[in-house]
Amino acid sequence: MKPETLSAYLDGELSPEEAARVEQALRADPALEAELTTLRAVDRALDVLPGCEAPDDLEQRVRAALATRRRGRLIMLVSAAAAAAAILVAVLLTQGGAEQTGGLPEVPVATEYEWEFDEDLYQCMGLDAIEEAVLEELGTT
Amino acid sequence: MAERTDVDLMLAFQKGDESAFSALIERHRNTVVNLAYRYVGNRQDAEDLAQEIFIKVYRARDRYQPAAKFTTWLYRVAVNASLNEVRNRKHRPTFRAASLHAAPDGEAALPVVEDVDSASPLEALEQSELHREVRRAVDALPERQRLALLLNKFHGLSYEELAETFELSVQAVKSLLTRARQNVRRMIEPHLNPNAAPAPGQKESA
Repeated sequence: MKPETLSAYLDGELSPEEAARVEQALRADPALEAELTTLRAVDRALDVLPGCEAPDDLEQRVRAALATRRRGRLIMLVSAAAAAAAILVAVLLTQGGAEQTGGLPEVPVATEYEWEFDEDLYQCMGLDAIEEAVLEELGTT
Repeated sequence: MAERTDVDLMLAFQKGDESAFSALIERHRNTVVNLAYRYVGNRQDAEDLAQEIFIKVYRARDRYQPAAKFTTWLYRVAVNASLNEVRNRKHRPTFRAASLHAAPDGEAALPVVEDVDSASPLEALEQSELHREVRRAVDALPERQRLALLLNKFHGLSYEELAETFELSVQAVKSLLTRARQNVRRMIEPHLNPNAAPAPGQKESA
């Protein structure tokens, strides 16, 4: 018998027909019966893992963390916007100067670039936070 | 007036009623903290994780569809937050993770087992050893196995509900739980006394 079947039997997840087949097999096979007893003991052993009460101030902590992160994201959003504006100004100034001197030197440009989304990098750079902040500021909160 | 259901509260929260979010936290905080506590093995990290889970609920509120049972959605958020937490921990070696650093830090974080039924110090010692071994075995499980086992055992999630929570097939859940039990068994079998253990019969529901 598959281990999955015995495990599902223990969980009461088999159909009545399947359960009846398992019970028949258990009666005929003491080794299988012993296996089920061990599985039950393993399940019961997990009862030693204690639970715990939630702290009374959990909600305050959640709300404080939300407020702090929202402020942090706004600062990041403003910084990112300022940086983008600075780059734009720099590019415009450079292009203006270049036009006066006969154009920019020709730079080889990659014709194909495979861009792959890197979630770790995205999170690491705080881009997910910026995205969330933008969405929130646009009225989702 | 009849008490508002979780779905009512969630819909009110989606419309901007912050008090509905407070009511949801109040209603489900022990469930979430219990899951987190058994998952990470110490109180401080469990509280941090529970906080993170409710933050995710707050931020994901617009994605909740009333067709889904609220607790299933909550467990799905909790599972994703727990899996992310583990991924983040790998970049933070000082995190007090019992699951990644079982000893000595994890051991120190283990709560004392209060075994009021113990007839002798020897039995108490055996019980405390069993507790330590079970904790170690659970900490050593791959995260998805650990979460599936805890949700099934302590929160009473059926295979169907687990499948929805993990976005897996029922067959895959069956296999996940079987592997989890086999792994735990391998580690704790020398400490078991199968004859002393009657069938558990029912699962804790929160």
